[in-house]
Amino acid sequence: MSQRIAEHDWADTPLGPADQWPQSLRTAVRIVLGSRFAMWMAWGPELTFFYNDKYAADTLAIKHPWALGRRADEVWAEIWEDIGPRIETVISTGTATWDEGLLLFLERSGYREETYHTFSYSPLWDEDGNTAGMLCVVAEETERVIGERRLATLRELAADAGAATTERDLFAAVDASLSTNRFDLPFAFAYTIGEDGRPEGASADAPGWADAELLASAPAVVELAGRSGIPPGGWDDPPRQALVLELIDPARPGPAGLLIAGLNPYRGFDGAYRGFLGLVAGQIASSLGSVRARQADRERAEALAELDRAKTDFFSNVSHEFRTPLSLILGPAEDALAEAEDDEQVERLNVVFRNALRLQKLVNNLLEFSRIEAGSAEPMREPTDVAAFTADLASMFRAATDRAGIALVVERPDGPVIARVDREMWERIVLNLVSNAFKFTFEGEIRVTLRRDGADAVLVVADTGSGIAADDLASLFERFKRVRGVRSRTHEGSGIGLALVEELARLHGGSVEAESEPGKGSAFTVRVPLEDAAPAGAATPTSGAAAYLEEALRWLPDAEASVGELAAVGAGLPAGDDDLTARSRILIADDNADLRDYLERLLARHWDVEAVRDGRAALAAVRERRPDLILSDAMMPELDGFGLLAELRADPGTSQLPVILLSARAGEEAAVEGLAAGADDYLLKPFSSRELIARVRANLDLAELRQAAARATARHARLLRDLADAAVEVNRAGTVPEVLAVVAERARTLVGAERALAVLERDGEPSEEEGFTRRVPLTGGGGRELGALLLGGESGTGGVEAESVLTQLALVAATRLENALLYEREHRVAETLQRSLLPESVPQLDRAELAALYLPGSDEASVGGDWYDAITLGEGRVALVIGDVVGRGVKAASAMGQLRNAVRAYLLEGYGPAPTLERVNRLLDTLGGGFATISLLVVDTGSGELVYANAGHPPPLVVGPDGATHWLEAGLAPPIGAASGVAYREAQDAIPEGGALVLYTDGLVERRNEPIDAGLGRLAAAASDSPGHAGTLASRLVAAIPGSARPDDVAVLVLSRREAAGGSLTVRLPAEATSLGPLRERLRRWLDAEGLDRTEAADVLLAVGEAASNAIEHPLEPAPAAIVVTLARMEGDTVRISIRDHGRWDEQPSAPHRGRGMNIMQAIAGELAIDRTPEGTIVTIHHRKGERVA
Amino acid sequence: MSHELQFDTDRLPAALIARPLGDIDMAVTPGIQADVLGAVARHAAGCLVVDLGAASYIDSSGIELLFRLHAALAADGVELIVVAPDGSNAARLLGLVAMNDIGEVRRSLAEALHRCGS
Repeated sequence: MSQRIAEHDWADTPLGPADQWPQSLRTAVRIVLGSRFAMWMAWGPELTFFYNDKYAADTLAIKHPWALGRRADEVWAEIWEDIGPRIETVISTGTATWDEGLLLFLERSGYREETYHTFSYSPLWDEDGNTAGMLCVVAEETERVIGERRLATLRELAADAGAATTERDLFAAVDASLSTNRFDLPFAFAYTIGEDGRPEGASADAPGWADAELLASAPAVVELAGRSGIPPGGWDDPPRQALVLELIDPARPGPAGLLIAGLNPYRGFDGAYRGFLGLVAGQIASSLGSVRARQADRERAEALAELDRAKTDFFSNVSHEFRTPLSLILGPAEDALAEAEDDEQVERLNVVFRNALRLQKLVNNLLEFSRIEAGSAEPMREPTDVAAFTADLASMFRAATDRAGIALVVERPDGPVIARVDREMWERIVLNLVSNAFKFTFEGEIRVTLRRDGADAVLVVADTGSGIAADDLASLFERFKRVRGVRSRTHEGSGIGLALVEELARLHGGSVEAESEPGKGSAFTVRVPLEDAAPAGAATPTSGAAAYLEEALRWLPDAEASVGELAAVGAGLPAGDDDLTARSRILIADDNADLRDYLERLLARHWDVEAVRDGRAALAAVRERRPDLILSDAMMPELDGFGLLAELRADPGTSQLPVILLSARAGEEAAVEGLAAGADDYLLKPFSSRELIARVRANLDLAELRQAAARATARHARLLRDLADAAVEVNRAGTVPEVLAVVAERARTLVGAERALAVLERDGEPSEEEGFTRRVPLTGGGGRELGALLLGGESGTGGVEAESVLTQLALVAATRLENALLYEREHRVAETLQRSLLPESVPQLDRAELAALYLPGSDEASVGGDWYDAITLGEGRVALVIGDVVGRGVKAASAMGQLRNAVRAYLLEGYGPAPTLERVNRLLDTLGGGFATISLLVVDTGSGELVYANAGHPPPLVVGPDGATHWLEAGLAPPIGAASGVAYREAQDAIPEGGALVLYTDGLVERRNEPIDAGLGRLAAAASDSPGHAGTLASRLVAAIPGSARPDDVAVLVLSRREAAGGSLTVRLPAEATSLGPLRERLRRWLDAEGLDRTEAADVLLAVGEAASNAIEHPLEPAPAAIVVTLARMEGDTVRISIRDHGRWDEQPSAPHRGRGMNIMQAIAGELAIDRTPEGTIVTIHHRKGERVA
Repeated sequence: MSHELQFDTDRLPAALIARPLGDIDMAVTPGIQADVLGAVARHAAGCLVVDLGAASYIDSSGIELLFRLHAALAADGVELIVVAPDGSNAARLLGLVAMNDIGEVRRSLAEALHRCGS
């Protein structure tokens, strides 16, 4: 630039030829050119424009070199409106201006450009003291301002979009967060791409001008010229270009959507801008991906639950539909068998009867299963001698085992074994196991054992059969699981027998286990809890048991021969005993006395029966005591069957009461009429006794099923309520371990399990031995399995709804867990950030030891802004900083980083503790708030003296070599950021030789429920126990924190001073009168340590003081940043002290007392040398110990 | 460095006693000078005693101070008496340099006051 200015033709400007310029202008131009800051200046009546290289490069751009020598209002015509008045003020008042981050639209790049500048205008004076021009020091901050703006948008977008759970929410959040930055994004519209590949507006108000053709060009920058209605965003003019971006979800092929973003017309579309928009699109795309994945998961879970419900319904219905016709086959077949005389006919009927029994057994099992699934299988448990009952049941198979040539051994202890069981269910357990054993055993024995074992009744059914391979054992109790490739008596079977056994055992709070060795046999062990009670009557096998035996016999080669045995078994069964446990009440209404008596006799074998003569009496009886079923003749006086039905159905209390109509009227119409009137069943006279009983039983079962369904509905409602509670609690859990614990506990109570555990995939799952029988995956966004919920020992009280409830809970938990994991990651990032901002090591000091410790808080949510710093300032001085930024997480950690750098910079600039704090306080104001406590000390490691100031931080502690402690409590002021314009005060103190200084953050002394004084007392006590080496002391202080968990993070910085030692002392001080005191103080200590007596020391101090005063007072032209350096050392018994400065002394002292100073020095010093050099003056004083000038 | 200055006006009605504490160097002498002259003006004393017995350090700037005080007070007819007890830093300093025009020097406050009262 110098050359350009020299070569410029200035004659035409108001300033005239350069060689005629006044000295003031030359000086001003020299300052501008010599500066490495960007500067420009204007001089003279037309404010002629000068600038330096930096300004040309940073700001002028294409206006350079055109701008040189032009009028300032011409150079900056486009912003003259903004800057003109400021310049006017400077020129007219001589007062400087200051602007920070001012938005200016410059036309330096070929277009109107958005720029931000921080600058000051100050006046320039001519020789007469008049304002002749102005100087501008300027720093361009465009990059910073725009960068921060974009970062804020990205942060907001990440936070808002990440929280969305539906697409709709997501795009609303995207719209909202992008609308906060209408400068970089004058407009932004998002589209999703539908299945047809066409974009569909997802943002609100997707505009018409963004047509398909425009969108199809993605990814590209598109021109908007010629389109109207373009929103201008935060600018006066609408964007001229837009960027169309594809939203790519990496988990899926092809773009998931599009984003069209208007480009700021006042910025070039550079790499940073492109990068920013890329990040915006990337964030939207990944949020969209995770929202969609979550949506898909929800739908899948709902579909599965629906399928499960449908399956259960199907089983219930099918099984039930089979039951009634089966009864109608079995009954007549039995009757016919009893009456048949022809052998051939008997044989055919036997086939019918056997197969019907088999089918009935199958259907009963299926029905039982579906009832358990539906949660309606409430066991009717009563104290039962299971030993006797089991022996009876097992013995029924003797006919089959004898025929097959295998032994059936039944073992039981003397006396009863009482357990509280549902007798029908227990029967199923025993019969299924024995029948299963029989199926696979061809020689040897089946051993059925019932014994007590601790608190359990144990049933073992062991055989010497084919055995089960280890691979199959694991899944043996799964439904529809059939062991294949093993020798067995039959390949028929539903594969649900063992699964049913397990379900039934579980319903009793028990368990079943299988052991097996292929070729040797198997053993099934069922455990149920023992009961301390008398049995409620003897238990006898039900008619259903016959089906098992019949089936077993059927497997034998000479099946036909088994008829006799079957008949014997059938005859031995008490009639209707399957209703023993819950006798239902039947109300009969019939006007024919004979029929009434017959029905009463017939049904009383199975149920409690009451009989009345007509509908009216029936109604009265119902209101007095509600029966379980009504059997009514259709035609009766007073109130007939249809009238009775109408009355019953009109009353909500009886609307569900099953009613069977009996009628003599034949024909399909009659049946239809009866059913249309609301009858549950319709029976034509004459009817067989078995058919009637079958119909009654079927309708009773159906009614019970309906009631169970109603109970299940109520339970479902309760489960949903519990689920809602659980969801609230899960969402309240903050950390990953908390979420896992809450989910496990809630799941456990929801389904009534004994144990539950939620684990993260990364932590691995427990082995199977720990008894978890159910595993629900916790699936996060994108289908990633985060972990699993494991349950064991379920009581089954949750019913089938438990399945869907668990699915829902798992969904809630997975979402929460995903957030918590994210949070955990942020915590790690913050901690890493924090650690990276702390010094890697503390500086090595000559005369002292320094040690620092930082421990992150154990609470996952808290990473504080704790920090420390140690900066050597030269000449044995070290600045120690400890601080705590209020707040947590990444934000606090990065704020801490900024503060740390600022403090470091000011200290290195030479500011003392208080001025540094004052400046940092102002800085924090401009950074936009925040709070921080800082304690700042400058320690002279040689003398131990320290100067400190404190902005709201807990006081540092000084520990003497004798263990005496005192707090540095002076100079306490409010925290940084608490108030502007705080005047921080400095105080002085000293660390004795062999003593230590302790700086710490509040995590070291603060405990919940404890006054801070207690913590401070603890710290002082721990420190006073001999300070020792810095590292040792720091560790000891941390170890003294009570309890294992530190909720907050802790930073500790310890400086320990070495014991007195001989050596040199170097003091470097600014050339100011106020330096003399500290200089003397340090020298005094040093002389003291070197063993000079007080009067001798006083002389040396006086000599040095005079020399230093000279060094401070006289060096003048040119005035460099003067510093007085004093170097003192012992040479034998001579103290040799040199004092140097960077100026030249006048040969003749200007003031008389200065001359006296020289005299004093000469009088005191044994030897005095004054060395004047171009770089400065060095005064050397020698003093022999013990010699003193009188 | 700030300085500390004690004034005593009770010993004699006509005398003002100024007793600087701590170190006396060029950093504090301007302040001491102003304070002392201000006190003299307020008390209208005919005699100023500057007791250097409590000065932990004093150098040539202290001599300059006395010189200036002496000159300023002489114009108003106020007499300056300096106390430099034996063994004090001030005595040592005054023993090392020749001095004129810094007022009367006495070895104790009593002597100084006696001189004032006469």
